[in-house]
Amino acid sequence: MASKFACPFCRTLVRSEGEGYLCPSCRRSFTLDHGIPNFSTREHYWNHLAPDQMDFMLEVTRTHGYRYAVENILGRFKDPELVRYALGANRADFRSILPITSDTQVADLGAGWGAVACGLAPHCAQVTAMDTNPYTLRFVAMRAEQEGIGNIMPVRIDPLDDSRLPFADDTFDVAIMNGVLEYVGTASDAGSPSKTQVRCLEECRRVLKPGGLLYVGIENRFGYLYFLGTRDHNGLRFTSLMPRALASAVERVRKGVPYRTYTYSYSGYRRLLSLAGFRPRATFIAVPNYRDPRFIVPADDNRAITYLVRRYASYLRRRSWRWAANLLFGHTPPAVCGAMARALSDSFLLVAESTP
Amino acid sequence: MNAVLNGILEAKVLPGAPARAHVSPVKLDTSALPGGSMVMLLFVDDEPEPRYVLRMPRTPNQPERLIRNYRSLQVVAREPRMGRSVPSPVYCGELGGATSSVETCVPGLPLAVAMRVARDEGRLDHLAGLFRQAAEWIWEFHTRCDSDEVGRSDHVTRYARRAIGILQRLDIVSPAQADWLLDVAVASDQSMAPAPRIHGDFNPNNTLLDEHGRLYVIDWEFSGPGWPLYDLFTLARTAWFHPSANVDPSPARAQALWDPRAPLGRSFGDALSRYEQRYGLARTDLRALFAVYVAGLVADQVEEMRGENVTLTEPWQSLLRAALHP
Repeated sequence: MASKFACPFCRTLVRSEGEGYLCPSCRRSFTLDHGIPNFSTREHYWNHLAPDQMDFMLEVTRTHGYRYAVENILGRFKDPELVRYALGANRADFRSILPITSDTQVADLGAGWGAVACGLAPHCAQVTAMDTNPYTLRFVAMRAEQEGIGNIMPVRIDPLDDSRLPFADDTFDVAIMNGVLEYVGTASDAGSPSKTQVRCLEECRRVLKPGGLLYVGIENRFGYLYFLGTRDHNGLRFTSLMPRALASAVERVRKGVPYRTYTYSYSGYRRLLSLAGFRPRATFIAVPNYRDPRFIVPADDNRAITYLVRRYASYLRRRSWRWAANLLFGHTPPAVCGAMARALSDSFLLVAESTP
Repeated sequence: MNAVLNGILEAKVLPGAPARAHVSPVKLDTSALPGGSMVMLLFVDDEPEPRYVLRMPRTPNQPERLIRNYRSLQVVAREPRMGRSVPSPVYCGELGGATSSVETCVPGLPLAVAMRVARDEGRLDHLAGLFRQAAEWIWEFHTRCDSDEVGRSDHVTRYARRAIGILQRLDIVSPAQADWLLDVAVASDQSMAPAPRIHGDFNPNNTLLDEHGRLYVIDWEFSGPGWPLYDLFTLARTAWFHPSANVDPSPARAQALWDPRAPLGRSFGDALSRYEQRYGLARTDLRALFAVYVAGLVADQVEEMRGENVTLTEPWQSLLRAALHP
């Protein structure tokens, strides 16, 4: 096992003892559940399926295979879109912008259904798939076994808001946060969501080796779809575009809780990463979004963006939209195209380097 | 990725050795299937359009499709009349520690986009025209680019055995019909021997149309010796019933594919006539082969689902019944 487990409380390296781990310093013990190290210290559940549905899903995964389970349970009874989300082999295509080699130790924070972990595993030394949900971690373990992948290690952790990753300093070369950072603030009501996000990023930096890379796949706060009425992470429209205080007031009225799913603009993410001690190395624009990227283009490459925007405009379904897009982008200088894409694109893929 | 890009520049695999080492990657991918390739567009120097396409396998130890794509391009690019409508192969081998290939980038948008627009706007004559253009290209290819590999000549029979098993399991055909379908498959294998080279995935997403209406064919990952009607059937099915197009899967729509009064049916019929003449097959045989083709695709899905709860969704049912019951 390449990863070095550390006590999430005192950060002393733990040792194997019986069917689990023991911290020699604070004497806390941690169990192995279904063979998965469990460093979770508080209850937290988030998933597309409820626990009893997950039990059934795991049984079907065991008897019929993970692909069948996803297509016939997740896809049929929950949402057909989830099949591509859970199975799509292109979910991990962002690896093309990361220097991942056969020696790379990868931390996948918020592994979910394991699409990213399974996509990265053939290209690196080991993927440590971390999640708070014990059911999906078991699913990931079964999926990896059924795919014949031997270098994925599922680990149960606490939500990322309280900075308790159970690993020693300088463990990983690359940390992946794909669709995770925006939810970090929702695990508790304490403190400002942006401070919680910075704390979470600092914890990622701690477990990354000096010079290690953090990858974040996330929405643009001012993505064009939000202007067209697409719902924010809280299920409400336009809250992403509002000042935070107003968004919080709206969510309190509509849902009884404050607004905590913070996303940022292109420059906002760079500031956030810098605050957490990362040096932003590259930013990419993902089209149509970071969850299912068909196109990935460097955010500072105006020429490539212009090519992509003009090409993508021709894909639009409605004739009026195509006409408007061609009018807008057909003769726009590349610098303007690039600036508009950075301001209004749906998602960003951020790569930042851990500084000492 | 940087290692691969640096590998390209250091190995000087790009013709004319670009002066500036500024190559911007744009990932461009439409496939979410395992075993596929990641496709990157390479911009060279200050040119506004990408000049090369770089392919990398998703799974590092499975470069077979990538290599097949490259070899097929080498074969097709040699044919004077076809060569200009496919990418030129540039390089295939190790780059920065990974097997990768480079080919030239051809212009245009996927034919699927033009077809979808025509379908959405109800311009079925235009859709049929686009289909006709692609069908003519594939006919030229089948007649000009004979396979240079020693292939088996039982492609249809092998495909049919698997497909007919599914048809019987779903009670779509009787035992007598199953025997007849197999006889047609064996006869067509005999008439099509030696097996020509086929594209293997000739759908409108792998066919690009430039602003002058010229056609380019890309993604030769499944190319090799095979039964040529497979390409034509793939084109017809995806042009009319592409799953992502969210089109009406009704039986009437499937029947229209065989209706000479309908625009697409007429184009499809004309394309089939050529193959009828060349291989001495009757139209009923071709309809039977189309049913076999569709059933084979269903068999793929059933295999993926490990043979459990086999049901036939409406588009497949419509296509099968329309082909089998004129």
